[in-house]
Amino acid sequence: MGKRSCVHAVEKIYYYLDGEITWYRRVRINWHLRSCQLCEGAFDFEDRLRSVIRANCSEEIPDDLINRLRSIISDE
Amino acid sequence: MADQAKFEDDAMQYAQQLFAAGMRMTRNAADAEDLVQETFLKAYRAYHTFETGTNLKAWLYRILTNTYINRYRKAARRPKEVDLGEIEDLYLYRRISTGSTREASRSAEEEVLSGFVDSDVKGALEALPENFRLPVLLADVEGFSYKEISEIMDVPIGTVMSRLHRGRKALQKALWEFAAERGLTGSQEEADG
Repeated sequence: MGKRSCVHAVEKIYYYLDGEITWYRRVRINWHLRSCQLCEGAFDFEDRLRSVIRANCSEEIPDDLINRLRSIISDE
Repeated sequence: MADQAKFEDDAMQYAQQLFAAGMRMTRNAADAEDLVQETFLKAYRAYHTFETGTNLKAWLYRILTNTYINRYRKAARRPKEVDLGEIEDLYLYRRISTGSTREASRSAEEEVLSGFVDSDVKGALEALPENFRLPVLLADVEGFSYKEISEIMDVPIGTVMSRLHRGRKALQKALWEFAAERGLTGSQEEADG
């Protein structure tokens, strides 16, 4: 990931994955990723890592809390 | 303007997510329950001010975040700005993806990624200082945009982006430590630990 085009792509990696990038920049990065395995690997890894983070952060809400939330609404 | 009578129908679907976010904020179940309860009460009372058709989830998270900040950060208006130090970009990827071929790297990556359990991820996230934890939680777990996070946290969008960037690197460093502790990095050439 030493080339200039790689540096540009990696600089924009989070904007790209966050969907906070212009259409034009996205297309340019896609071009680069098609020809650069290292960057493609990095983008893919970050994307999968985010899915892992999201998938492992859920919580079971206690039934008791749900009941209390409903009673807040009916008591007001 | 939203109809208060419809609050339960509209808002209850977010209760579980709000509770999970509350857990990451307060780091314990009892406080998270109180936080969500207070959030619902405030949201219900203010529901007539909610503009129908705008983003209800973001509106609820804004109340959750404000309530958390006011309740758990009484002493100081702003959190203590913690410096995370310099952490390189792509921290995890550079350590894990060291195979000689793309296939070898990919399998090393998969081994680590699929080896993480929820206590690793939750622990790494909860270890972040609050000013970094909130943006990472709101972006990576909840999927809010920079603009939404800026409105939820009431900080400029540039601040959101820089905290998010640094917070993500720190999260990766913490995850690497969990992975190393659990022997998930054993097949790698010893990186700098």
